[in-house]
Amino acid sequence: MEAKNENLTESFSKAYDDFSDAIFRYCHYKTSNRELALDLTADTFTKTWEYIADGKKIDNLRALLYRVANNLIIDYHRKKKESSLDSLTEQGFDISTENTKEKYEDNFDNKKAMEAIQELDENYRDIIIMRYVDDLSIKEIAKILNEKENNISVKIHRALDKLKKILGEE
Amino acid sequence: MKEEKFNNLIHKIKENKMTSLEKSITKHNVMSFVHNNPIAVKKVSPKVKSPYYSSFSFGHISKLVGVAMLIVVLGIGGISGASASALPGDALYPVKTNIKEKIEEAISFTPEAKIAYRKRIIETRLQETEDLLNLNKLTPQTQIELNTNIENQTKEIKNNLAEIKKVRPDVAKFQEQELNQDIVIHRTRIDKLLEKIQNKDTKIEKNTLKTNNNIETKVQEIKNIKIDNHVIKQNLNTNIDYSSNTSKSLPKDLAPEEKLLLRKNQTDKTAKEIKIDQKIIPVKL
Repeated sequence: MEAKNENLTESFSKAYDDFSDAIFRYCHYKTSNRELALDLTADTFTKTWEYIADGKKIDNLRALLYRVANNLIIDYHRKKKESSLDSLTEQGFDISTENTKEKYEDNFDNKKAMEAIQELDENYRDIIIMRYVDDLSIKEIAKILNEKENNISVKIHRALDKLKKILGEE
Repeated sequence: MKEEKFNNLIHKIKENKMTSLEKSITKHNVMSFVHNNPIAVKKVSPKVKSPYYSSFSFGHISKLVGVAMLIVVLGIGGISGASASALPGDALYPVKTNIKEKIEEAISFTPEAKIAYRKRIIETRLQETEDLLNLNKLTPQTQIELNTNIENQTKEIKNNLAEIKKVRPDVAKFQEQELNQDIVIHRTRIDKLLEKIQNKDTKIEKNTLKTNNNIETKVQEIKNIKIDNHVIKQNLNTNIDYSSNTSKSLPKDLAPEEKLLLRKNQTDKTAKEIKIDQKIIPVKL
């Protein structure tokens, strides 16, 4: 049992080395906040380990990591929506300062790349990043987004068309 | 040009990653969590038999209840099936109308299903009328009951049609046309049945009349024979001893002509009595 645990720990450590950057990037594009993306990346791996430690069967660890990350991002946006601006102001939260801080934290090497990709619809943006940046297969994307492979292929095609139009206008 | 821009964009996006410090700190945190939360060993607890378990436990009772329910269901189903051909006056007829048909009505949820059910009932009632007529068991009371049932079902069908009309007028129109056709068919069938009933009544009347005529003819014949006998007797032997007659004895001091006249009157009276008695006899077809 201990040996099995040791093997799984080693595999998980390797999975972190392989996929942590991709998960971080995914979280960063979805939240536009580097610190938050780092936290979400850590949470994604701990949640996934909890799932593994519970003895549940995993077919594709990479797909599972994206799925967990996606759920965490959804939770974050839900909580953000729930806490109204009024209550944040009452707590002494300076919206303008925070937004400015976020802007400076987005220290991308290429600001134009970020702007271009942000112009895409959220669905298309996720798919483009997963497919061309993180090199996920169509099957894996379909599994993460819980959609049919055909739908994903169509969306990739449309997203590329849109992105190329955006890039052409620049 | 666009392709180049796209590849450049992807390359730039790929460059967005954690710094090596960030990566190692996050990994340290994650792996600490992993070591503190090893894979849980699931303990499979063996099944412990309850000390209260006995052969009279619920397991056996539930099986018995199941068998009993099966018998009841099959029994009800059998009776219900057998009642399908029951006619008014039969022992199973109330099962047919009060249980089987009520269940069918209860499981007809939509107005369309209810209309179909009511059409079947009307058809059944008409068939029952015909069967009873053929078996010579149709009483006026049963006939009224069956007719009332048909009328009630027709009224209900019209109500159901009104319900459908509110939601789907096109379907209601089609159903209405069908109903009108059915009514024409049923009217024709009812007319034929009534004709059949009338024919039977006429036949009964004719047979009764024929029987009565036969009786009258027979009586007349008897009367004539008796009168002839008297005439012959009078001609052959005027000194007949009427006291030996099995019917009614005549006074001895009467003249032969007077006795003959009296005897003739008695014969006529007897003939009339016979005629009246014969008319009372019930006529069987």
